[in-house]
Amino acid sequence: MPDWKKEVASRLAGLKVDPVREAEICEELAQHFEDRYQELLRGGATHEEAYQATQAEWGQGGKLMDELRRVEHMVKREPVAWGAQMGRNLIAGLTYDVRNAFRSLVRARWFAVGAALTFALGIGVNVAVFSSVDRTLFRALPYEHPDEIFLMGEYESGTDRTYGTMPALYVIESRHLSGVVDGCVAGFTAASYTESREPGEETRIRLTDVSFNTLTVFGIRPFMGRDFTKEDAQANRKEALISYDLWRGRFNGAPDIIGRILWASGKPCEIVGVLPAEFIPASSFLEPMSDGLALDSDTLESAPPGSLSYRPFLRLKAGVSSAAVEAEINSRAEHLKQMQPAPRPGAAKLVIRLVPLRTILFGSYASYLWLIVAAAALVLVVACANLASLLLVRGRSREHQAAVRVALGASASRLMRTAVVESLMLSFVGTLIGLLALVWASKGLQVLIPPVFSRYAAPVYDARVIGFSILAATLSALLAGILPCLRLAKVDVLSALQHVAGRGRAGRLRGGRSLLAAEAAVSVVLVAGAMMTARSLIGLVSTDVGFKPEALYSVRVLLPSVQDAQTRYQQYSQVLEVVRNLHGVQLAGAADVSPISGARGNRFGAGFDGAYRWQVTSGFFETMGMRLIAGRTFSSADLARPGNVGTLSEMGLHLVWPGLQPAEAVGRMLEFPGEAPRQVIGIVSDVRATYSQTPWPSLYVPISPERFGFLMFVARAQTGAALSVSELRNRVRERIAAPTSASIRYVPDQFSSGLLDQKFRTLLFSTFGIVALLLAAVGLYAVGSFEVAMRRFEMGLRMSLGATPGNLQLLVIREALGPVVVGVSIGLICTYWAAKFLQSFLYKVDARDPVLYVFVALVLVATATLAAWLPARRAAKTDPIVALREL
Amino acid sequence: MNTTIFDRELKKGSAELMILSLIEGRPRHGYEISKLIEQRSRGTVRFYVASLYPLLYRLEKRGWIKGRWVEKAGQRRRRYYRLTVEGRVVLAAQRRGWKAFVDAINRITGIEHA
Repeated sequence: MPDWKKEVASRLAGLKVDPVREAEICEELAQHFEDRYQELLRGGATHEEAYQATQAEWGQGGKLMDELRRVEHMVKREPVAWGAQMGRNLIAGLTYDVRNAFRSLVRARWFAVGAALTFALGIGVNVAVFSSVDRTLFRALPYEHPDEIFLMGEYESGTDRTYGTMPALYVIESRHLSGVVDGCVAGFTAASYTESREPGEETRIRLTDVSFNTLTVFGIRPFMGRDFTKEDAQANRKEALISYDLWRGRFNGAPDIIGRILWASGKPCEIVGVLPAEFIPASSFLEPMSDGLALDSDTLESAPPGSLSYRPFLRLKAGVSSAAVEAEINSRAEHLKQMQPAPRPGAAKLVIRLVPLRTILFGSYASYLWLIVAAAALVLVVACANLASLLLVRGRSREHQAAVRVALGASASRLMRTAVVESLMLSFVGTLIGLLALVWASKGLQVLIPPVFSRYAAPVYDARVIGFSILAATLSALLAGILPCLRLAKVDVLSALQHVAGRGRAGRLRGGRSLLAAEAAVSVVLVAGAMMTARSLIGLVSTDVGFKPEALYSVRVLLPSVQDAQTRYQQYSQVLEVVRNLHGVQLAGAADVSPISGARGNRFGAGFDGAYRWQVTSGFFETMGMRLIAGRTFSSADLARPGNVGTLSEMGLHLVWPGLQPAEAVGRMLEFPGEAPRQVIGIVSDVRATYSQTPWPSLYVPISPERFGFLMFVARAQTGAALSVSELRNRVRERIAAPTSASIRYVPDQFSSGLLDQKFRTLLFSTFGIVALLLAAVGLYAVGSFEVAMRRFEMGLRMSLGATPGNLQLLVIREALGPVVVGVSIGLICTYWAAKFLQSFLYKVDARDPVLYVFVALVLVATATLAAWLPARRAAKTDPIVALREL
Repeated sequence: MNTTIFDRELKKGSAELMILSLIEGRPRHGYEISKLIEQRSRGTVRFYVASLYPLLYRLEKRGWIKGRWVEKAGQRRRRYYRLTVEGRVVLAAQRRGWKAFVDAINRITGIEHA
């Protein structure tokens, strides 16, 4: 009997079509010949005759090949079959793999959904974080050659303490360093401007005064309008370059913005241009919410030598090192110091440093931002480990299929490529979901995140953000896919083909346990971080601030400046009366500098650094709700002799008389050189301006009309009452008959806005911690379920040998907890190691608190037990008869 | 004109129509189709492997017919071809064309021989 299939196959060799297709054609034609041959035999032909006649059917063999080739290549097909090596046409092979992966994912759609969501979570978190920190940490600053720009500042030698501003003299000197310095900008302090001449309630516009050459030194051009000019500066003209955000927001992008006038203390300031959108005002380290720049008259050369209000930015010439310039300026400064007749106090220990722009702008946030980047990266690691374990389980359950493919001739690399394509598809779908979720949630997130993120955040459609997303998706797909890939490449064809899953194969998932341990370890770090930040927040909120912020308002009234201190004193005393009589006010008082404004007071006294003196009016302590610890507060008699009495805060007491009890201090005399002795009449509580601020040691003295400057008011409202700023303004105007500007702030708001960072950190870490915990639990559950399914026979055998369901449950849980315990231990060690770094973000929480560590470990183990318990229950329900029959 | 060439051209022109017509009623496999053509033409028209199968594959590629492996009890599996919806439309059109053509030829040749 002729072997027609063999014959056809030999004739079709060289057809060059997809092997699967070739096999089909072969089979069909062989079938035809077989049918013909059989028919001829039935018709009475001999074998030889039938064979010859059938052979004749080939006609001219070449014709068949030609025809087939023509038909089969009508649409070019790449010969990539399951078993085939990689085809010559890479794209066609890839298309095939993508189609194949898509089909197999559709079949396992729950797995696919879970995996894509895990990717979405891991990558979404990282994209969100990247878009928020890219501009502050990674992207080049939006100036020309930003690395050449430095801020010059005076620092206390050997420390990071700086006064921020510099004497004009040094600035002028640095301008003369033309060999190394390309330009120098003097930045000054910010001032408030309003849109209308009459100060009203509208939000103020904060502009930072700068010298005319600022944009030239920073290497940028206005988005609209023109730059400042030297001539305008010399002519003492007031001009402004407003920020892009201000123009788009407040001015609705008005095209006629150039030429509009802003007002400061009744003086006009013309808007001459709009800054580019990307521009980060270099002044933002001075004034975080600066709305633009105002031209300062060119006063540098004529400024008094002692004037200290300059913050110069230098642009060094290309290739000049900042250290060399620093040394040069310091030596010149040393020379200048010696020439001065009366040196500034403490000037001897000051050195000049050049600080890179990025450090100035974001240096104080850098470690905080890195912490968040690290936490987000850990979430991605957990997500990848989780996916790797899911893919491992999936790969293991498809070992049979892989073995068939290897048996058909597929190479290891071919198998791995299929697995990688699958993992890439999952990660890209996940990334897309993540990005869409971010776009959808971005509005809501804006409210939650602190300004340092929202102000510099890039939108999701930013090219760098999209690039990062693609990179993250690819990397995490490879990271998650590599282990399952390697396992797949090592598949033992013979044993995989002999066994079908679930029948007595050794059930351990190699590699899966290490992944679980890794997941547990990372989860520990994140959960510990979450607990620490949460405890820190609770600790902050429960801090005693030393006074009663509830129903307290801080009131500011600005009167036109009057030279005479006595007149000023009388005017502000009248304002205090007005505040006291405002509708809804229960109590009111004032201080020259309010201790809760965040500003520092006057010098405490000669010889005491870091402590402050505050001048207060009658009723100040009562209005604030400060606690009186010993003695009494100021009486009207005390206020009449302001130079003779004082009240110390608790810390002030410890500073002056360490170890003395409050009651013993009352009545003692306080003596500072150059001042009349002062009697301490009382001790009051320490006051904090924010929850996290360490209170300053303070001395409170009655306000003195002779050395009077200004008053900041505090008012306590009656229950349920709110103060009206327009009423305040009108009443003050009636009383004093001068233009005033007034503002009222609710003190508790000041405290809650100070908590924004802490709340955000707690929210972030809690979310990360919960996500990590959930992912770890899912991974554990998946691996546990798989192992239980694989070990059905073993379970059945154990049961038939006398194990109880309880024994089996315990066995499964115990084995599942093994890697978790290892992971938790590693995680705790890592947390302990990272504690030094974490500590700086915590308030009143010890990052190495053993109780916290034990608690974190318990949370992890409890979660793991729960995740392992579900498969364990299934193991306990194994029917030994059914399980053993499967062998 | 050489009669062999004439026959071959005739066969080529009508081959698609013949195959489509044969599987219109029910799906058939390749050998069955070739047998039916031979029987119904009483041996006048015969399709050999070299012309039949490439034609079937071409029709399949065009989407007019669809082949499917079918296993019947006690037999080896065979590839059965059935007419697709598109094939049905093509068949109707080809039938009309063929009829018009044959009528025209008849009229011409009839007049000449009359």
